[in-house]
Amino acid sequence: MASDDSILDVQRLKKSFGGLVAVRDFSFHLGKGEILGLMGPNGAGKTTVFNLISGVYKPDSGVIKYKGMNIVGLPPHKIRRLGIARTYQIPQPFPRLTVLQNVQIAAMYGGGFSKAESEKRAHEVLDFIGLSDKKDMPAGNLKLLDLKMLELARAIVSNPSVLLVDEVGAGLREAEIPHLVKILKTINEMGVSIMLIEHIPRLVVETVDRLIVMNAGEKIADGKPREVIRDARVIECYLGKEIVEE
Amino acid sequence: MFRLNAEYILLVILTLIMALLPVVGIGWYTLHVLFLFFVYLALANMWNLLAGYSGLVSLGQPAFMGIAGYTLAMLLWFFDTPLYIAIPAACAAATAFAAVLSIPLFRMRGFYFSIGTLLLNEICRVWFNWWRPIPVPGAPVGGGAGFGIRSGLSPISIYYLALAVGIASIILMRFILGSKLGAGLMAIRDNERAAATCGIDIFRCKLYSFLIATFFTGLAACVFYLFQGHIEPTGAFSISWLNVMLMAVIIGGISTEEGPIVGSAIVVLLSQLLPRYAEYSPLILGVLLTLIITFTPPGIIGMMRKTRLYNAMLKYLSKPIT
Ligand SMILES: Nc1ncnc2c1ncn2[C@@H]1O[C@H](COP(=O)(O)OP(=O)(O)OP(=O)(O)O)[C@@H](O)[C@H]1O
Ligand SMILES: [Mg+2]
Repeated sequence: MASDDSILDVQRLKKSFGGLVAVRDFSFHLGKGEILGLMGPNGAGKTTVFNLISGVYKPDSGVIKYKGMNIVGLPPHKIRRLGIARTYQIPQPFPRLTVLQNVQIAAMYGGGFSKAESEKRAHEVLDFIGLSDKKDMPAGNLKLLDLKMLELARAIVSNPSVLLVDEVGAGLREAEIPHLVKILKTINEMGVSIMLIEHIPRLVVETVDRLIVMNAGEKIADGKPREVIRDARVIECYLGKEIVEE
Repeated sequence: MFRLNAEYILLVILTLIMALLPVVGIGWYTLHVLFLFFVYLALANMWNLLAGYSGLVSLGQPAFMGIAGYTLAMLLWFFDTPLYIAIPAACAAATAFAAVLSIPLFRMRGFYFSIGTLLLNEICRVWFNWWRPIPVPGAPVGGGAGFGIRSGLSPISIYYLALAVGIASIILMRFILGSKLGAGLMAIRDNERAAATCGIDIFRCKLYSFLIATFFTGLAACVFYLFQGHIEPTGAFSISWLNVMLMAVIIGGISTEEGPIVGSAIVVLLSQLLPRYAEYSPLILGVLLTLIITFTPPGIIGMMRKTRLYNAMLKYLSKPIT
């Protein structure tokens, strides 16, 4: 159900690769100021949904309305400049540039800030994310967890309206989860609507306002996180997977 | 924008020395070698901008040089255009040619782009061989559309032009790499997908870089042809110009600011030394390139950047732009 206060309104999205239908008839909305979780087993099509929204792939059919405007067919850089930022599940740094430059470039191009203003913002964001001690390192030298935080820094530095976060918590130790929850909540409190792909149940339940579960390209549940997680179909598609064990 | 640091002071001092050389009566041979160095330096810097920073391994730069050279020749020959108009017009013609060609060329990626641009040289050569401009009495139209280029400039003035263009190419590179465009180009070079996601218009950045490089390559070509005094298709569109650019950038160090400077110096010296061993020169060049590519892919500068002494020096001069 889409309402007037939704910032992202996706209708009947479909994408197939060759014979494989990765996303099928997928509809959902993201409310203004909401944190929406997206779960599903491996290969369910979650990352593909992000790739479609951010313009990396073009959907076979369907409508993606952002602030009331259909953005299907726009190139990724335009979508970013309109205010939809994303992180990659597999980090995509600019390896030869420093951490600071990585973030500054996203501020300049994605946010349209001047060079000096971008540098200032990059410093602030790196402080906030907790990467400032590594800001002069080439991004190629960072470890995986730092690379994931760099993805997040690069995404939020442009002041997006919508933030798509793809498994930024994977690989975190239990003790590091509260830090991430706090970061995401703070970003959200600054007015950013967030969509979060995450496998870690604790992180999801503590962070999101609403949870969507998808399986084999289709939506199978949409509602309050605690209820959705108890849903019989969700348990079935996750049976034997980590959600039950953890 | 320009902070006065050790690096610029060094550049100014070197430039002044180079500018004083003709005054103190240095030999013609040395001046000629230095002239070639500055022309090569501008060509190499622009090729480094394309291949080293924009992911555009263009092998079509000789075509743009030839177009600029021919435009200059014709403007001087037919219209007696003053140089300060003819030279910018020649560069603009080459840039316009590049702009039109970018529409099909930019659809090709990587290797295909390189092959596509390489074909330009041959197409231009054939066309200019076949083409006969309106016969003008006294025009030296012989075996191809050859033209004399009479600028009335003294060799020393042409040397100063080359000096200006060579030094300007260094400053231009520093300016571009420090600009928003440069940051975008380096991001694209490092990771195209992430660059697009960060809001960078890849097509536009590459196009700007391509056009800037073509304009300046055309400028270097103009200076060269003013010196040479004539232009004909075989030489103008010859891929030996590619040899100069590729060797200077690869030997010196691709994707580094200093690489083309060192590389151009080496290529000029080799071009003076090797003809004495004419029969071996392709072999020597081949072996040299193979050694460089095998052992130090980032060229001589890449090798030096691994040493502490060089880094200390860089730190003293100023920080290089990655
Ligand atoms: N570019 C592509 N080409 C071909 N198949 C693809 C491509 N991208 C995704 N797929 C396929 O689409 C399906 C959904 O993939 P997707 O990456 O969206 O899953 P996911 O839900 O993000 O999984 P994970 O939890 O492992 O990240 C998978 O079967 C995958 O192999
Ligand atoms: Mg995924």
